[in-house]
Amino acid sequence: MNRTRIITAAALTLVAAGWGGLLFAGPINPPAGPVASTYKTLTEAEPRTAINLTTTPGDADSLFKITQRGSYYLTGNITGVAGRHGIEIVASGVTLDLMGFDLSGIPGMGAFDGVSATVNSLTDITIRNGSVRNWGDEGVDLGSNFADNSAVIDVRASGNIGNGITISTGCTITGCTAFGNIGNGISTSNGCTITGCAAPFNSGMGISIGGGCTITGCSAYLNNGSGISTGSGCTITGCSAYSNFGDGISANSTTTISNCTARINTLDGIRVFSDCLILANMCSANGNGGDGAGIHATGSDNRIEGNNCTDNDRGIDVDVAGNFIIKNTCSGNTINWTIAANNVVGPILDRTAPASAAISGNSAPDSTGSTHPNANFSY
Amino acid sequence: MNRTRIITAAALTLTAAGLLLAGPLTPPAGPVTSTYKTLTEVEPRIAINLTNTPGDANSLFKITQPGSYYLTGNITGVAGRHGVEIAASGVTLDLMGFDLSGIPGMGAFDGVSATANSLINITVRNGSVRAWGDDGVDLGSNFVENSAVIDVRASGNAGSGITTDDGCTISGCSAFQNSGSGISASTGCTISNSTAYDNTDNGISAGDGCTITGCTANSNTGNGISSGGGSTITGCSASFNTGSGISASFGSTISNCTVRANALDGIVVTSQCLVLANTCSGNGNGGDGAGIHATGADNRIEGNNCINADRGIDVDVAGNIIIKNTCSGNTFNWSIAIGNSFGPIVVAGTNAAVVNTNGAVAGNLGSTDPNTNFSY
Repeated sequence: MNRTRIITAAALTLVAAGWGGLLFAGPINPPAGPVASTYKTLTEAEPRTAINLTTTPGDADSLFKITQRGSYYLTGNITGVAGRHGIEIVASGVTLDLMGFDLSGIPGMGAFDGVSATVNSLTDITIRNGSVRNWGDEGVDLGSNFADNSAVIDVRASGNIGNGITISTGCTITGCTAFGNIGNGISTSNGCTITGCAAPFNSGMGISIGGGCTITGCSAYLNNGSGISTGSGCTITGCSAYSNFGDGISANSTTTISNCTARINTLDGIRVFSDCLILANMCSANGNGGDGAGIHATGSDNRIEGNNCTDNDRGIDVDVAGNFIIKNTCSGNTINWTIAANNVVGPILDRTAPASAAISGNSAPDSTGSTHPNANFSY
Repeated sequence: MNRTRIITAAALTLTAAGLLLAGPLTPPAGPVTSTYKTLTEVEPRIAINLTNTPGDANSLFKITQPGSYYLTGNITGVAGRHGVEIAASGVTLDLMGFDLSGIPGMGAFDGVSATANSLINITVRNGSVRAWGDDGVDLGSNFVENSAVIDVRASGNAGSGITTDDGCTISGCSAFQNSGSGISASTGCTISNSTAYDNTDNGISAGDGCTITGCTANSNTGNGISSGGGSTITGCSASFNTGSGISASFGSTISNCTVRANALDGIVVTSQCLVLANTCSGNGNGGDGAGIHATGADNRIEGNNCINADRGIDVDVAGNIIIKNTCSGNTFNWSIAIGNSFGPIVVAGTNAAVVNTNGAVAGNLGSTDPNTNFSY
C-alpha cells in the first residue's frame, strides 16, 4: 500500500510538474487538435540572414559578400578597410536592410564602395534604411555592373569619392539624401523613378539620370554641376533647382519639364536640347555669377509654353530654328528674348510700360495689348 | 497491476508534457547545425537605455557613436535635460512607435536633439514627441545636414515640432499645437505628405530651394506654409490659418494648391513667382486678405480661381502679368496697381435659360481673348 501511494504521489508530482511547466510556459489548456509546437524559433522571429563573417564572409575585395538570393540585414556599423568594399552583392534577388546602421569608409582606402553589386547584370536588389559615407568610390553602387530592377530607399549618402547612390535600369530611388559626394549625388541609368529626394552640395551633379526616367518632388541645391541632369524621354515635375554652379535643370531630348523652379543657378535655369516640352516653370536670377538664360533651347522641336522667366541674363534663349514658343512671360532679364530665325513664336508684346490704370473693382480693359491666344509678353 | 498502470500513466504524462513544451521532435534533415539566432541577431540595433546610452548633465540619453538605435519604451522628460541627445553622425534613431513626453517647467530642452555642430546623416523615425520645453525633434539648431525625419508626430512642444537643416527630407510627419512652427526646414529640403495643424507660428516653414508636395497646413497662428526663394509648392492645402495660407519668396512656383478661409491672404508672394492653377476661397476670414496677393514685381499669376475674399487678386506694385484668372464674390474682385499687364477683365455673362441639350450653345463669357480674366 505504501509503495502504491509513493508511486502514485510520484506520478502525480510528475503530472503537476508538467502542468507547472505549462503554467510557466503558457496556457494550461492545450489547444484543440493534434499536439504541435506553440512557439516560434528565433529564426522564425527574425528570418532574415544577419550579415556577419559566418553567413556572408568577404573575400579579397570585400568585408562581407552576399552570394545567395534572400533577405539580409546588418547587425552593426561597418567601418571600411583599404582595398575592400563594405558589402559586395553577387546574386540577384537580394534585399539588404541596413537597419539604420552606418557604413563608413576610411581615408585612402582606394576606389571601393559601401555597398556594391559587382557581378554583371544582376536584378532585383533592394538597399534600404541606413547611412553610407566617406567611401573611396560610391556609397551605394548598383549601376556600374548594371543591377537592373532594383531600389534604394531611405538611404543617406554623403562624402563618398564617387557618386552617393548609383543605380541601373528600371530602378527606383525614394526618400534618399545625397550630400557632399565628390561625384554626383544620385546617378541613374534608364527607365528609373526618383521621388522625394534631396541632393545638395555634391561636386558633380545633384541628380543625374538616364533616359526615360521620372523625377518628382526632388530638390537639388548648391551642386558644382547641374542640379538635375537628364537623358532623353524623361519627365521632371515639381522639382526645385537652386543655386547650382551648372544649370538648374538640364535635359537632352524628348523630356517634359513642368511646374519646376530654377533659381540663382550659375548657368541656365532650364536647358534643353531638342523635342522637349517646357511648361509652366519659374526661372529666375539664373546666370548668377556666370552667364545663363531662364530657359535655353540649344536644338529644335522644343515647345516652350507658359513659363515665367525673370532677372536672368536672357529670359528665353533659343539657338536654332524649329521650335515653338508660346504664352511665355519674361521680365527683368538683361535681354528678355533671344530667338534664332525660323522658329514659331507667338507674338512677343512689349508690355514693360503697360500704362494701365489702377484697378479696384470687377472689370477693366485689357492691358496685355493682345488678344492673340499664343502671345508671349515682356512685362 | 496497479503499479504498472501508475508508472505507465506517469510516462505518458511526461511524454505529452515534453511535446507541448519543447517543439518538434523530428530533427531537420542534413548535418547538425544551429537552427536559431542569437538575440543580438534578432535585434541587432542598440537599445536606448542607461547602460548603452547614458545621458549627461543635459540629457536623459546620449548617443555618441554612429549606429542604429531604438527605443524600448516611452520617455518622460526631466527638468534641464533633453530626452535623447545625438552627438554623432551616421545615426538612425527608431522611436519604435513610443512616446517621448516632456514635463511642465522643464526648461528649453528638446525631445530629440542633435547637439554637436554640423553632424550629418541622421534619421529619426516612427514615434511621438510632445510637450518638450523646446523642439520636439531638433536637427536644425546645430546644422545637421543630409538627414531625415520620417513618420513622427510632434505636438505641444514649446519650440517647433520638427526642425531640420540643409538638404533634409521630412515625410509622413504631423505637427500639432507646437508653440513655434510645426515643421521648420532650412535650404534645399524636401517636405512631403506631412500635416501641420494649430501651431503657434507657421505650420510649415521652409528655407530657400525647397520642395513641398502634398502637405496640409490648417489653423496655424502664423502662415500655413511659408517658403524661401526658389521653392516649389505643389498640391498642398492651407486653411484657417491666422496668417496667410501660403507665403512664398522670390522665384517660387505655387501650383495646384487650395487655400481657404485664412485670416490674411490665401497666397502671398513677393517677386518673380509663378502662381498657377490654385483655388483660393474665403480668405481674409476674420482679418483682411486677398485670394492672391503679390507684393512685388515680375510675378505671373495665371489660371487661378479666387472667391469670397476681401480682394480676389491684389497686386501692389507694377511689373506683374495677370492672365486667365477667375474671381467671384470678393469684396473687390481685382485690385491691381498701375503699370501691370493683364488680360482683359470681363464680367462674364450668365445664361438666362437652362441649358439642356446635345446641340451647340453660344458662349456667354463676353470675351474670346485667350488671356481674359473673368469676374463671375
